[in-house]
Amino acid sequence: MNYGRKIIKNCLKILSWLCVAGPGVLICVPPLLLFCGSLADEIEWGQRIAPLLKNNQEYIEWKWIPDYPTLGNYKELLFYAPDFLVLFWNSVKTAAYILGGQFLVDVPAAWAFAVYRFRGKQFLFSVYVILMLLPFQSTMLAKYLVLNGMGFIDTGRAVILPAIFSTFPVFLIYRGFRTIPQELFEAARTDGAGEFEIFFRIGMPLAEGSITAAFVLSFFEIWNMVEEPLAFLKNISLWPLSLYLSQIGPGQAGRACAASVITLAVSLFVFGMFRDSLEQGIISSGLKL
Amino acid sequence: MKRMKTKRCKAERAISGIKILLLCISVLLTCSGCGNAADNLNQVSTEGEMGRYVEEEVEPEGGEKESGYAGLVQQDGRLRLIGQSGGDWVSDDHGASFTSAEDGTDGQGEASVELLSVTGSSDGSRILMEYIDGVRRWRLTSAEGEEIISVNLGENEYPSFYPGADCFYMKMGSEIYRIHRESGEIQFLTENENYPLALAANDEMLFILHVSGVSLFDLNEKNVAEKQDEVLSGFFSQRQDDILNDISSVLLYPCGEELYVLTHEGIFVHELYGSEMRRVVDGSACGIGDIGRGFLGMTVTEAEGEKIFNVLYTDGKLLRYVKDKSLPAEPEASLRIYSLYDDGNIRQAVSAFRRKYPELYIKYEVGVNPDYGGTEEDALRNLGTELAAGTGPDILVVDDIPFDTYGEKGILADLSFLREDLPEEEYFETVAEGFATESGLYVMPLTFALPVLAVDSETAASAGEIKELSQLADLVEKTAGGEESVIGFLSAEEALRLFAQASMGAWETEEGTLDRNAVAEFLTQLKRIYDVQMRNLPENMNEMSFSGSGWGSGENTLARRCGSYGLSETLDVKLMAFPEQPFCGGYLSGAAEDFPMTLGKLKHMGGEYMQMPGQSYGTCLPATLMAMNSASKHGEESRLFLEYIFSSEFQGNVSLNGTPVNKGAFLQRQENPKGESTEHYAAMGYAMSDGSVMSLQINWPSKEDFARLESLADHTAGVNYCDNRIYGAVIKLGQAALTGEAGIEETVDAIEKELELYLAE
Amino acid sequence: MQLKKNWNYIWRNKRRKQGIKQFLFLMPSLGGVACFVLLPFGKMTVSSFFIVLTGEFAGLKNYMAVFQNDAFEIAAANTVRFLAAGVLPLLLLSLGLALLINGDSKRGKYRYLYLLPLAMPAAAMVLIWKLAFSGQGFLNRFLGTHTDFLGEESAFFILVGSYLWKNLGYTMILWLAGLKSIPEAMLEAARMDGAGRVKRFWLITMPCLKGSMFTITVVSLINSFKVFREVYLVGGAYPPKSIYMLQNVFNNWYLYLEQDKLSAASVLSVIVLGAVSLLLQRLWDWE
Repeated sequence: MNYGRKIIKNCLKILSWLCVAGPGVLICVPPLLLFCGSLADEIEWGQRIAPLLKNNQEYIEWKWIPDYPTLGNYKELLFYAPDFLVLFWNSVKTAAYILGGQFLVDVPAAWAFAVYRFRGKQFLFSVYVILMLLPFQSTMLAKYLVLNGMGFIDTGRAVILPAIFSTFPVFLIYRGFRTIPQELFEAARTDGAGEFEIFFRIGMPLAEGSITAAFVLSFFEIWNMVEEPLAFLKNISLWPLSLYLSQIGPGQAGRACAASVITLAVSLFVFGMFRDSLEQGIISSGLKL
Repeated sequence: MKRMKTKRCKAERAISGIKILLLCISVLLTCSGCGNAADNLNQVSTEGEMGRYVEEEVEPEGGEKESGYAGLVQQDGRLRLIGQSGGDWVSDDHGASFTSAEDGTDGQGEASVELLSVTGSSDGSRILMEYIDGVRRWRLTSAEGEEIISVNLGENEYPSFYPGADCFYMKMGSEIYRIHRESGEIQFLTENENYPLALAANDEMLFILHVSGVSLFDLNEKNVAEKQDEVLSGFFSQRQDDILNDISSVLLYPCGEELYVLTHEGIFVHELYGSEMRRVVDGSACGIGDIGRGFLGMTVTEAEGEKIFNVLYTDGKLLRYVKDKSLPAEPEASLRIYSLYDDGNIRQAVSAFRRKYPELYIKYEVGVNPDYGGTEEDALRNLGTELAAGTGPDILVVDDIPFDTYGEKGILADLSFLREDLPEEEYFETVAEGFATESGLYVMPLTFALPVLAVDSETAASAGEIKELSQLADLVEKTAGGEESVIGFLSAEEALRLFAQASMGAWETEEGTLDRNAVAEFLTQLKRIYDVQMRNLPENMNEMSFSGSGWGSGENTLARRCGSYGLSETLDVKLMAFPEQPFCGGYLSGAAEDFPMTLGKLKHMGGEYMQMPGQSYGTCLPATLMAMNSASKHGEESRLFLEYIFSSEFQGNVSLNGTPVNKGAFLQRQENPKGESTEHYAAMGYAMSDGSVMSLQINWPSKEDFARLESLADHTAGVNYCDNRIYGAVIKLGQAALTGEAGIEETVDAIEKELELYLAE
Repeated sequence: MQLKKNWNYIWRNKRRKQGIKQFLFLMPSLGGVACFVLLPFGKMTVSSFFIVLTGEFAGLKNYMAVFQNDAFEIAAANTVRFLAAGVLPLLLLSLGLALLINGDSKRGKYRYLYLLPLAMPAAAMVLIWKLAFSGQGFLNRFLGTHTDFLGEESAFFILVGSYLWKNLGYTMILWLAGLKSIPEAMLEAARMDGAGRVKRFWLITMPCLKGSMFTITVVSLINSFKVFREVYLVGGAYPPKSIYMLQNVFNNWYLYLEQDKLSAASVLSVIVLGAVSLLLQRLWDWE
């Protein structure tokens, strides 16, 4: 009997490992594809995807390690394409502004929703949620008209400002503040702490996990933002990196892969920087009563 | 326990310290890349800066100006304008004025000598390429006219000469030589495996412009330069198509450490081995952008800290560009013109309009920028947004834009004023009014072309008038005999595009839906022709298909939609590859360049042309469709612009892509630019696959030729236009029907399915 | 009497001051949202009752036009289908993964790897799709066939698969955060009381996760609309019917300047989405 149970237990263990590792492998494959693709030069790419272009009965030949591996794509992007660096810098600037703005605006708002009671709170929150759900295409024209009226079209502000006031981070951080029990605040209030102190000293540290999670997601979104800049920015020198080669043609596959790898690398780098606090936050949000 | 904790803390701190350091480094790196680079993208000097280059014309004094100019060179601050017939002019005031040079010869020598080209150098010596008694030769003469050396040229030798700092450079095939000015000594320098197109040089470096970019040759080391300039090369390889089309549209001028590049986009400066090409003069704001003429020479001198440019054009004009510091860098646009893709006709129109009305500033915007990831639909969407917001462009070129929807929504203004305000202008009526609706005329084509079929004269005589595709199919089946191509297309897609030129109008019904029967009929008949052609083609010809080469690029809708299927191009293919081919199809434009060349090729093949048979027989292909924004805030200027570009003044004096819709202009262009008396217009040659060269003499078309074209144009049944999506679907899916992979009904079903969503919206 | 009055006064004042301070927290966000989100939305709602170009009042005409429009019907059906096929499995799969990882710290070592897909740019995704699923791609090589998976019904499944792949990681992290916030003590107590794994899950874990469920469902819904860019890059404005969704219709109406239908349809979709989110809120978030 015991033996049987042990076998089942082991099987389950292996199964659960597979369930976790399986998606893990799947997840790693595409970035790896991109990376290997970025090491091949245009000629090799041309040979590889010739069947695709000619639309015939052959298959695409894929070699994980290219015949002539080269860093030429990267060299070209970083040193000989000044536009790549400009767009890169644009993306960085935009991300910095937006994240900074969101921190100042959305975190307090989430706090207000989560902790305070006032008339119409549920209603307002529901409105926030509904607005968040709208696909971009529905309100694109109306947004354009408003931004145009304010004179922001074709400037960085057209993209930065709406993003700062996006209700999405509010929503995510709200969850984090929600889990903190009210008693803690009452106790602090009776101890004589002011509202802002409570927010800053108690609320924020306890919800750190949610806040970091929200900002990480926000960063990924901003870094890969395509719709808004395309619609609101006409001047190419203001475009973010995500629009560079966003349509990959057959003659540019190598460069496009390299650009994508660089984009990915930055995302991962930023994420790596904040992984620890994300970790901490998630662990500590489980309170001990 | 405690000690372990401290160790871990230290390690953690170290790691986070490294991370912060890495972040700072990467920020620094990115900072270094920006700055000037942002300007580079815009390629115009930064806002708020003062100073704009102003154009002025320079007239040399004295000397014999009739025979024209051959070049412009400079040495030690002295500019020299090379005269075609021997007299030169010099200028010592940075090109403000030119006076006749003392050292010059007069006259060119014997009358039986035909002068092909002249290349002059800064000390007055020149190289003349001549044609005498059936032999070509080139001669180097000193400033006084004394001959230094003379070299006869063989059959296949076609050298070109370029002035260097103190010598001449000659390129012959892929070999490059240097020729001493005083002694005439010819020195072999190098051979470049990419076919060189042009040369430029300063004291130290020779720049070889070829199809893939620019190669640098170190003159001191007498060897290919160790380090090549990637950015410069990239700049040229991006503009490959334009350069190959017309080598005089590009000019390099080395000036010390810098290199100035002149293209129709403007004058760029590039530091050798630097990372950017910075534009200093905007071509679209002055005559540089006029693509109707090329560049013969340029000089760059410096006065008061600013560069002064002198440019000699192929039409004989000498223009000078000086910076006027009192003007703002970029004036307020008073008129905006928009087209989805770059249009050569509009570029010419804008340049010409600017020259005529220099106080009005026009900005020409192109919607789709292929380098930066926007698709056609994204550009259309942004255009729609602007129009809805009331900030749309004033004039629209609606070639690939859904103008029927725009018209319905009241966005386009009625263009009837063009007819009313200018009663003296004559137009090809059916073309000009081709897009008229009940509520008015919203769109008017600037040019058009006629789809025609070239047939050798015997077959033409026996066949009579062919109007339907079925008749053509019968004829083709009857005539086809041997192993040769019959009608010149090499793939199903080419066949579709070719014959759509005379049939596409029938595919769309009145309501805007697909006409199944028309499409089915088209495919059935075309399949018969296709089968015959494919049967007869030699095996390996499928590889040679040149479909898609013109697609997506090209300077107007005709090239974009119909590919390289102008009759001129298809005749080229026929003459080079399939001399026995009886039929040849394509569109014919009555533009000055195209018509004589095409007729010349036709005469060589012993054939004539007739209107292409098809379901919309007798219609024409319109191009560069103009429309005006009804909400434009610059109504006056817009009307002025439209009236100008539809006038014979404009259309008669530039060479447009396509037949001008202004009939007066069309009649004006019937004079031989080479002179009233000669019949001769041009000579051309084909490099055959076996190495020989087949040469053609092209004569200017006769009055009868022009009259026939005119009559065809007068009697066209209207414009052949079909909704873009329907056209695209038929081309894409019709191929299966032709090759036999799918049945006709099946294919039409598939086309309908493809269009289902589009039509449902 | 006097004393009581004073107490009341002081208490109310304090409350008001507190109220103002609390309001300050919310104000910047409210201001910006009103400006950049509510205002355009309001404009659009108003204009949905008019004909844009002529300015005349149209009442419900635009809405009727939308309902009668075939393309809209197809797109709406597809969108619902996609949501059902995408969001539900996503929630379940990610919850499952989160539970698996939560239970064992070794398994959870590389959990942040799962965030990688979220950072992939859309264009790179499309390149990989083309390499893998086109007529000459890897999948066909594996199967020995030549069908263009991107061009037919199967495009739907590729899209769903891609959506799952992209969002699995983040959703799982969100579940993990929710799971970690369940008090250990409760679970301990339940275990002591003899409740089995399944019982503990249903009676304790799930109720505590209600709030997270709400958040995660909403987040997944939002992300499902974002697949538009991939669809667009692969299929253009008119992709295969199976992946032709609401955003496509909106985009195309936009291209052809059909403002009227666009505004009406947008308002309709807001109403529907609003109803859905209210329902979810009621179920899982109401306190």
